[in-house]
Amino acid sequence: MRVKELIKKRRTEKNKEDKNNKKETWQELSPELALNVKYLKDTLGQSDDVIFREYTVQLGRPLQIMLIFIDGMSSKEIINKYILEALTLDSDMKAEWERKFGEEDLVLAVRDRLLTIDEVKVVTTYPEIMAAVLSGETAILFEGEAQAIIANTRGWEHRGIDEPQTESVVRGPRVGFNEVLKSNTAQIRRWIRDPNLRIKNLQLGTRTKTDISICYIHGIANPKIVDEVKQRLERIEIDGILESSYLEEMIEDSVLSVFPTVQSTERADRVAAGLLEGRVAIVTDNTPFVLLVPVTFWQLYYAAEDYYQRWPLATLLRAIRFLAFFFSLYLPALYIALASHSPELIPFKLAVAIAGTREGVPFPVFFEALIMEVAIEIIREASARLPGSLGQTIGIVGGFILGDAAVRAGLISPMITIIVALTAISSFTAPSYAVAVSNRLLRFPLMVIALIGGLYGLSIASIFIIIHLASIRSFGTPYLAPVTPFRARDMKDTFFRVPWWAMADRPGMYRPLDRMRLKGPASWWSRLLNPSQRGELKGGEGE
Amino acid sequence: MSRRVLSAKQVGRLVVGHTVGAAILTLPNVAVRAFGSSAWWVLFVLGLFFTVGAWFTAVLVRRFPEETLVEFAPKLLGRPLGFILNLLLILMLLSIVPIEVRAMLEITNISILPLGPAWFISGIFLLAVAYGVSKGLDTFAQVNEILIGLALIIGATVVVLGWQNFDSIHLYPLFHPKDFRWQPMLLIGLSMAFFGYPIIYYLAPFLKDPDRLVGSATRSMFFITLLFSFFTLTIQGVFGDKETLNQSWPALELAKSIHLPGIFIERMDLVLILAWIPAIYTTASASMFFGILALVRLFKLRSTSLVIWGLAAIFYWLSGLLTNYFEWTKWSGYLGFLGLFISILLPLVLWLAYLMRPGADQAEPKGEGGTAR
Repeated sequence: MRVKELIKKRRTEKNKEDKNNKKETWQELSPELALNVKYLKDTLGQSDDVIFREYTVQLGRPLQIMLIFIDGMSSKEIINKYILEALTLDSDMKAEWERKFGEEDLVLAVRDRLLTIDEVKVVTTYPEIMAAVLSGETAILFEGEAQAIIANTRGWEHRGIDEPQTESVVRGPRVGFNEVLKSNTAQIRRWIRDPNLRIKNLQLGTRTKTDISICYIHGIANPKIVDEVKQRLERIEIDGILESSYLEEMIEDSVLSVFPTVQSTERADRVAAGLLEGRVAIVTDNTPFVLLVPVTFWQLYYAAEDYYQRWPLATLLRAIRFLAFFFSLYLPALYIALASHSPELIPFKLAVAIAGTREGVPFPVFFEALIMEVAIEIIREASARLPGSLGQTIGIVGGFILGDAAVRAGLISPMITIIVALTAISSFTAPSYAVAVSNRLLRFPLMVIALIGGLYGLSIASIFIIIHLASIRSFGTPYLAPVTPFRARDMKDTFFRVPWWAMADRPGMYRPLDRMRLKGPASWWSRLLNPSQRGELKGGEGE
Repeated sequence: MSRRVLSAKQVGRLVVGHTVGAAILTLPNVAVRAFGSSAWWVLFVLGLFFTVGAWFTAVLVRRFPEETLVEFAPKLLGRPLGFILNLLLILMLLSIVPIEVRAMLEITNISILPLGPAWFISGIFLLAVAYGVSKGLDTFAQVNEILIGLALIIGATVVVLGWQNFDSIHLYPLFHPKDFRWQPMLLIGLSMAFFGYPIIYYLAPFLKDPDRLVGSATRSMFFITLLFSFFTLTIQGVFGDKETLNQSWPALELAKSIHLPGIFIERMDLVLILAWIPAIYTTASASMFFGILALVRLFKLRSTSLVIWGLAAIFYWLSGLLTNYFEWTKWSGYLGFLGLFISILLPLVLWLAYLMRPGADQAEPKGEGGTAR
């Protein structure tokens, strides 16, 4: 039985091998340059931006070569200076070439002796040539050789390194990613000069062949998380990846949830901080948005600046942000619940004042709030689509003048204008756009629930939200960690942030291999209680 | 994937979440009816008694780290008796759910939603309970951890604020002979408040570190003992015995008595109720979760979701039978008998059987915990 199985296995392997060999045979380069050029012209040359430049060089003998590159993606300066000029030998060099390298493999000799480009490789198949040319490299084919040289001549117009538009800070670096993958990975490398920083490349998208880089720090990031990221990415079979959001939706854990389980950021420092925590970054070509996994719910409310400001201020800012989260999710619903079902909860004077402002308003509280919320969403969408200054104008005209006019016309009460404005402003405090959107999505159902069930309905709805959040995992990490499952050691950086000298260990919820960031005791509370460990010099001793 | 998902802390919180529910809101009334001005310290002694019971149970359960009561009870007592005991425990756990649902309806109707129809209040509450239970043990434990934490923080704040009206004179006389009349029904009703810990019979296979079960269960029961007696002490100190006897919901009266100058919120009782909705939720959902867990294991059922949603419909119907406060207090009394047997007699019986059958805990390992859904 076992022998039969072995024979069957061998046969299958042999068939596979044969198939691969067949495939390779028709894909391999021919020694005839004309044949190679014909094939590549048939495949690539239908587009006018693919340049086929024939050239004759004197390498011991007159030799025809063909340069293939894409106009606009390859740098002509590099091609002219480091390929064509390098291959054009003067009379002295010709003699030396014949004497020294005449007997060597021509392609290897050209690669090793003549070309002065940093990234050069030799390939033997058409697909390799096509993939390289389409990504901005230049292929050099030689008459009589079944090999080609691929030289990195990538050089296209791109945006420089600017301050990120979506994550600006008062204090902190003002550099963000751009649309060039290599530039982005280089930025990460600039932040973390650790030989253990690993950058693994892969291509996704059968047609777009988008370059993707997976970055992590070997020895910190948990290999299970890294493998999971790789596996999820490798499983993607799609024709094109145009932005990292494609990947985000393909690899996230809870596909039907409104809450994001993958963090996206434009900030290189944020990615570097994430890598130091043991997380994994996914950099995608053609977009400045880098994905970070795993992520917890609380982390989406941390701003990069939280780590650059001193800890008391950072803690205060974080508390304000969480309060704003509560407002942005619940404020209109709470107002509806209190005004419609439980006015006795509102202090008497305030209740009278609210009732006074509502005098003459033709709509019930719910519709009043709904109209204003929808109006705010329309204004927000309109201002986002318009150019910068015009967008701001629309915001002011829409929000301020329209609201004021509606109040004067008696269509809505001033109270609801305050509520909706505070809600809108609160939603802007979320450092992550994705989580702000999920709040916006949940706000409307909560308003309906408040109308039907008042505060009781809101309580039960909140329980539903908590159950949902608790059921989410991001690459194996519980979404609500470290609040639940509760990890006291990780609470140092959640609702508050302890000083850097007390942040002894990395967040345990990401299961890093190397737990410690600082030497000394691991618990932050023991460090807080014993700050003298920071140094010997105390007040008065130097005098 | 490993099913050992619970930390020792989560186990402790599950016990607290299951024990602290609607009953605490009426507890001082029952306690004062039973023991007069000695109620608070008698509760403490009673709590210590149940803490020892929890320790006793946990030590036994610890001997069967791969099994729940469903698996180890037949080994100790034989199949028929083991089956009956499991059935009784399941009955007790599942009976708590309609009582909590009804309590939720009563509390909501007297406070935050006076005109709310029963179908709406009970219906969405049961939906939330069933949804939470359907998500599995890991999620359920996390939800419990957050909700019971929130409820206790706000509840404790209200109780501490209630001390502004505290007068120690209300606590005297401390050991009056008339406080110790034999009133078995009241004692059983009072004991009902402590019946949360039998869920530990079902926890061992899901613990990351089963060795920590005993400490965690004991600590949580001691915490509950302190909580109940401190709460009753506060109510007695604020209102005195006579006034407490006239209050159906002393906790809400305590919250109403709080006045905070300069604070926006005027009705603290509504705040307490809002905070206590999660506590009632955790009790109902823990009862349902562990009741269903045992049911599924006992009858080797395949479709857990069908059981969950089917039982939710039955609970809705049952909660409708408990038409008022007195009805469900009566039900609680009946349940108290069952609870007393399960909390006190069952561990004794199981221990005796265990001692008579040495080696019963040498079970074959069944992987890591089996199913938790």
